[in-house]
Formats: sequence, structure tokens, C-alpha cells
Amino acid sequence: MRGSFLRRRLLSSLTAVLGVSVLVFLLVHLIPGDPVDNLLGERADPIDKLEMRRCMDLDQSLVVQFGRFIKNVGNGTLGRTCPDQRRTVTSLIAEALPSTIALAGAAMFVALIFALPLGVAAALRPRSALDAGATIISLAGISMPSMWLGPLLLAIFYVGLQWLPGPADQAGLPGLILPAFMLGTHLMAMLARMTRSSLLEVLGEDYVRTARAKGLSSTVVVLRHALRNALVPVITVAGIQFGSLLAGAVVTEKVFARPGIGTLLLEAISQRDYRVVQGCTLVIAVSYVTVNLLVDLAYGLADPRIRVQ
Amino acid sequence: MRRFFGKVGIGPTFGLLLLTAFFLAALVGPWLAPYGPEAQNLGHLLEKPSHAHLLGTDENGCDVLSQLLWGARLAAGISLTVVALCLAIGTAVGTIAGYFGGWVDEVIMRAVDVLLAFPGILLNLAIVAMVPSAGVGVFVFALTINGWVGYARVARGQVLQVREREFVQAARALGASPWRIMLRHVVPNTLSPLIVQATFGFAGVILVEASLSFLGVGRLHNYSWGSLLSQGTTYLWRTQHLAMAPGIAIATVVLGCNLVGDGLRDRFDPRRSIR
Repeated sequence: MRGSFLRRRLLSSLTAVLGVSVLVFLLVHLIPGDPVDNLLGERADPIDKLEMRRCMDLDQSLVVQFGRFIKNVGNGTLGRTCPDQRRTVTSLIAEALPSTIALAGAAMFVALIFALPLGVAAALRPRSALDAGATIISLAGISMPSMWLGPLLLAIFYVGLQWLPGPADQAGLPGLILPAFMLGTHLMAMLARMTRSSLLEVLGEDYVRTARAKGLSSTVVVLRHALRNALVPVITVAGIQFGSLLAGAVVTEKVFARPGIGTLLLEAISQRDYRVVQGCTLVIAVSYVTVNLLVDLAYGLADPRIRVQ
Repeated sequence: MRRFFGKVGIGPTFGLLLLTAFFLAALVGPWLAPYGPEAQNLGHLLEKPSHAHLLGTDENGCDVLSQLLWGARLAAGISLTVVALCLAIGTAVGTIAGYFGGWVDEVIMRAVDVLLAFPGILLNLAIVAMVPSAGVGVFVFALTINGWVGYARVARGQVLQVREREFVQAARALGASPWRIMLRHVVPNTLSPLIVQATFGFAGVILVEASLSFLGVGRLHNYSWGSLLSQGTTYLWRTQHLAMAPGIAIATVVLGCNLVGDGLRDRFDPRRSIR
């Protein structure tokens, strides 16, 4: 049974990666109008247009274009940048990615470290003032647009209180705090709500009542019996959301002027460097699929029922 | 009044109030706006709120309140269109996948998997960025292209349950065609969770559209809420009112959707409301 679960899950991830590659390749063709006109503008110099066409392989048939695209993905370079061909797309992404992963990791840490206590406290005292407070915090976190929260955090903690470094000084851990809060708040609110409802559900289960009935202390019942089961779906969602954090980093990196894959993507968009846009999109989407696969496999290992379904 | 609160709950009622205010602003706001959205008053740049300009002016001397009201119409128009399109496409595709099953289901769900593999605003951003001076139409297209998949998944899950129910089998036994069964018997019984999804989806579209305008891709009007926020944050060090107005506006609408969505979900799924 385990082998077939693994095979099925791997197969569906592979189809997703293949589909993503085709879609990213087609992106330039899907949009109405001539791609080069779209990129350079209709009144651009014909020589520039010709060069762009050649650089992007648009002078070839669609099949040849796709073949070259797959070849570039296969050999790991993702092609050379266009119009100026000095670097491979992979080298640009490799430079940018560590900073984005650090940001996403810090945001995940912030989300979990606040969401779990908030959700647990709310679930242990439902309909109390504590629960109401936690609900208000989560609703505010879900509703606040991150591109508003980020600048507000900067205005308060950097300009006003001067406790934390701003966009000019992003090195080291202190520089990561505000961006991590900007990126992680939405996820924190989501996870806090999930923790609350998941724990409330588990606390009503028979085995929790049994544990209480045999005289275990409240702490042991909650920590050993209830929380362990309640957290499984929460951790799964957190894992799946890691990919969304990579994509959400685009906005955070813009607000804090941080280097990273989002900044690279936005620069490529403004310079109309199509290959880099394709490359960044592909890398983020494929990491997302991979993380989802790993989370699913881990979930399958933890909970045998999943493997059978 | 107390009866109404008891039945609907204070959260959803508050959410409904917020959303009503938003749609009213979108509907009649532009007529009530004291100035045109792009009318500049160069003698009054970056002014704080006053009697003449209730929410102040921006760096071009435009009235922030007027921009906000026009922006509400833009946000409501785009979001309603996108949610309606996604709801229609997603329900149709999900119902077909769930009802027919087999290879039809397999093909559709693989396509859904591919679109779900683009996290967050990634695909929307790539599409809007590729089109030169992308306007409202491109925004709607970009937000719809992967927006429907969530609805399709919910619809499919519902249809899988409903298609085995007795009334569907009865219709089948009476010789009704699959399309008639889907339209008349299956879809009406799957709508509740889809409406809940649409309520949360509306908030999502407002946020994504604002994020795209904030990032400066596409060419929506200068008074779109995302653009106003982006402009406001540029001047945050000098004056706060520019960033506060659009930020509060976006947060209010998203909060309203979440409260109403929670209320509807509890109502359609009574098990949840006990918690």
C-alpha cells in the first residue's frame, strides 16, 4: 500500500511540474499580440526587435522553441538572459534565492511561534475574554493587507521608536525581524484560527475524555493527548503555505528593498527580460510543488489512514 | 434587534454593515465625491485633512476622499466580475468532473493541479506584467485564469456526495439527461459551500488586485486602492494620512468578507457554530 501511495503522489507531482513548465513556456504566447511588440513596444527599432526575436528563439517554430526551453530547463541553466546574454538565468536566481528562503523561513517561524500559543489559549478557554482577544488578533491579521502592515511597522519601529533597522541596513538577524512580521502575519492569523478549531474538535473526542477520566492532569491531557493530534493538520497547512511565502516575498522585498527572488522578478519585469520572468516563476512553482509533495509524504508517514485513501 | 443579533451573530452583522458601506460607496460614491479623481489643485499639495479636503490631498493636490470613492467603484467592479466568472467556470468544470468521473475527472483535476502549483499572486503577476499597459480587462483575465480552480475543487467534492443521493438516482431512473440532472438537481444542492467560498474569494481578489497595483504592474487608474497605498507609503516619512486611508479601506472590505464568510459557513454547517 505504501509503495502505491508514494508512486501515485510522485506521479501527480511530476505531471504538475510538467504542466507548470508548459504553461510558463506558453505564457509569452498565450497573451494576444506579438510577444516582441508586447515586450519592446510596437514602435521599437526593427533591429532591436529582430535581435530580441532571435535571442528568445521566437524566429524558430513552436516545437523548436519548446525543445530549447526544455533543454535549458534540463541542463539547469534556464537559458541566458535576454536581450543582453551575459549571464545564465540560474546564476541570477541562485544569487537571489538564499535571501528569499531566509525571509520565508523567518516568516514561518514568526507565524508558528505566535499562532500556536494564541490558538491553544483560545481553545482551552472558549467564549472567554482570552478567546475574544485571540479572535480579534487573528481577524486583524487576516484582514490587514501586508503591503500596508509593512510600511506601518517601519513607521513605528524604525522611524518612530528606532528599535529596529530599516531598509538601509538589512544585514543580520535584526534586519530580518520587520520583513518576517510583514510576511508572516497573515499566515500566523490563519494558523491561529486553525489551531483553535482543530484543538476544540480534538478536546471533544472520546480518547480525551478517557484520559481525563483515568485521572490525568489537565496539562498532560492537553499536551500529550490532544495537542499532538490537533497539530497534525496545522503543521501540514503551515508546510504547504511555505511556497506561498516564497511568492508573497515579492511584495515584502519591494517594501523593504531587500534583495531576493521577488526583487529579481520585478526587475526582470521592468526590463522586459522575459527569460528571467519565466525562470523565477518556474523555480517558485516547482519549489511549491516539491514542498507540497514532501509535506504529503511526511503526513502519510505520520498518519497511516492517509496512505490508504 | 436583539433577536436578529442572536440569530445572525454580532460578527457577521458587523461584516454585513462593512460590506454594505463598501458597495454603497462603490455605487453612489463617485457622484458624492467632492472633486474629480484626477482633478489637481497645485496650491494644495500633501495637505492634511481639512474642511475642504476631508481626507487631505496627495502630492499632486488630488483629493484623497474622491480618489478613494472612485477607487471603491473600480475595486468592486473588478472583484465582482472576477468572482462571478470564477464561480461560474469553477462550478461548471467541477460539476462536470465530479458527475462524469473517470478520465474526464482525471484530466480536469490534473489541469487544476497545474494551476494550483502557482502559489499566491505569482501567475497573476506574470500575466499582468507581460501585457503592455494592462488595463481592467487584463486584470480580470489574469485573476480569473487561476481563480476558478478553488471553486472547481469545492464543487467537485460536493457533486461527489450529491450524485449518489436518492433524488438524483430518481431523476436518472426517469430518463433525465445528464445535463438536466446536473443543472436542475445537482448544482442547486452544491451552492451553499460555493457561496461561502465566493465570500472569502472576494476578499482574496481585493487583496491580489491591490497587491498588483501596489507593485506597479499594469495600468489601472491612479486611484486604484493599491496605487493609492503605494503612493501613500512613499510619503509615509512626511505625512501619514495618505497611507492610512487606502489601507483602512482595503482592510475594512477584507474584514467584512471574512466576518460574513465565517457567519455563512457556520450557518450552512451547524456543527461548526457549536464550537
